[in-house]
Amino acid sequence: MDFLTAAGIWGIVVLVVINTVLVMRMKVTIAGEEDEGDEKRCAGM
Amino acid sequence: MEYIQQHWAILVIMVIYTVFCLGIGQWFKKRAARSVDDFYVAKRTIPGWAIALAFFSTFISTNTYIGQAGYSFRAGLSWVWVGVFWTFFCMISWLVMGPRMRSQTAKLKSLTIPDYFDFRYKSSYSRAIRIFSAVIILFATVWYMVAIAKGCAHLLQSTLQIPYAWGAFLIVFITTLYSVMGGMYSVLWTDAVQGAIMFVVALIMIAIPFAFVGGWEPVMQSITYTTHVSARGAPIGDGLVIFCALVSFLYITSIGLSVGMKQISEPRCLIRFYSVDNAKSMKFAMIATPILLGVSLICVFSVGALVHGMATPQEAAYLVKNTDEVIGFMLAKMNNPWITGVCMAGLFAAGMSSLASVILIVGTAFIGDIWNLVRPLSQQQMVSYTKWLMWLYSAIVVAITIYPPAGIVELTAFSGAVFAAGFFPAVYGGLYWRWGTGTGAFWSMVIGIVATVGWRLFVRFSVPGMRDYHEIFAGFIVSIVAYVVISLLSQGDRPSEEHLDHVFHTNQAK
Repeated sequence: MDFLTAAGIWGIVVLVVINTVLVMRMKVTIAGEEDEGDEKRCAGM
Repeated sequence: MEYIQQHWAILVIMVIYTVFCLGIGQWFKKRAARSVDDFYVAKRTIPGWAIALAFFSTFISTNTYIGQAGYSFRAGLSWVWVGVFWTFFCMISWLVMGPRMRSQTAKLKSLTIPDYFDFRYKSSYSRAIRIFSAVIILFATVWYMVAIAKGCAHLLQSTLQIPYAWGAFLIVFITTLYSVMGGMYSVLWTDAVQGAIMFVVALIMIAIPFAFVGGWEPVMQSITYTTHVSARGAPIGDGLVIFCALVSFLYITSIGLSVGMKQISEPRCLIRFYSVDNAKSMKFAMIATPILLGVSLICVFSVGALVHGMATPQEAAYLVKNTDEVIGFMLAKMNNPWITGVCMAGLFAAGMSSLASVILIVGTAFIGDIWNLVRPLSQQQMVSYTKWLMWLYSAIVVAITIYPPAGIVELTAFSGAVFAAGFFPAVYGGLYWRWGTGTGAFWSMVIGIVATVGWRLFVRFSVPGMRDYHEIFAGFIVSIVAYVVISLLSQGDRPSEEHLDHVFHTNQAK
């Protein structure tokens, strides 16, 4: 298998690893989540 | 009796699978009927792992597991590069669109993609955008559903000898039944289970050529240099393992972009973000979805090339011209009823998960975004009418599937380009650009779709040498430019600053 063909397979692996590292270091927030939580609690969910 | 003896393993697995899907629908029946919020978006209460599996199973369809997997028999291992594009757009979808889409749609109390455009842009064009985008969904979706139903019906015909028309009816009927029963709850939870089955089946599929031929070395040896012939009749030689020896990189890019970009523009994928329950779940799904998709695509996109190791030169000469039959050939050659049964369940899971998602999207688009605007409905009426519309649309799909028009696969790929050109700028601009306006969003949709259709009709197949330049390139670029230019020229159409502060969550920061 030549380099560029193998790069396709390894390219997917590298993308997935980069994504994982990126998201792990990221602070993911959902704006207004606290208000939603209150609403759900009030609704008895 | 002989029929049951011959097919009992596949039948047992298929019956268990069907009962399970209908059981999930029944389980959520009451909960889904409580309100529109429940039926349309499962009240935004679904955990991240389920959403990750559901996104994966919704995006990937039978076409990937049969069509794309088989195509690498002709294109060689270079075909895996299509998977690089798809994985990249999966990452973009979750990193760029996911968290913002979840936040803004909850704040705006949006339940569908068309009503998001209406509530976000709040302009003189809002209703027009909402109705226009709902109409696009209704028309573009039918071809996609027909293509999936057709693929599944052929599969039932070849493996269980069920007549084609009955196969089409069964697959659409069962999927619609559990979608109507449990709304978004049953769609998401069956999608999650179907996603898990599909992931396992991708791993099983890649193992089959190695198990049949006798391990890694013999398979790699047989594909490194083969005497089999290509689609043009010339010997393949080392073409299966040499980059783009059998397919152009431009074609790989075209399929990679036109299908991969569905993840950042098609409502059936974007609606998944609505139902995530919290930020922790979102973060988990942002990591898990590209892993599920990436690993599966490595398996699925390379399996066709490996099947050369299982085929005689005569069989290969036939398969290279009929690549949709490669996976069926592989399963028949392996001749293990349990493996065939599990793989069949995976292939149906791929088809049904995509069908269920779009059936619900169509119902919500017509009733929530067109009917409800013209003649407002109560919550209970909306849920009930949506269910009826889903049945009606499914009946139309079955009728078209029984008498399918020519070029259905091309129509499906084309509908993906229409969504990317029509929806992406309006969604992305809505999420990130405060200065984006309803006028810009509406005209970018119109201009993007006209450019997509125009490129296909007058350039791609009419101008020599342009065949591999997919309409997605023209449509996408033109619609983004149109959105930016028209939005900047129509700043008077911007919603109030209070509304924008609410949407972009900037009031608390001040």
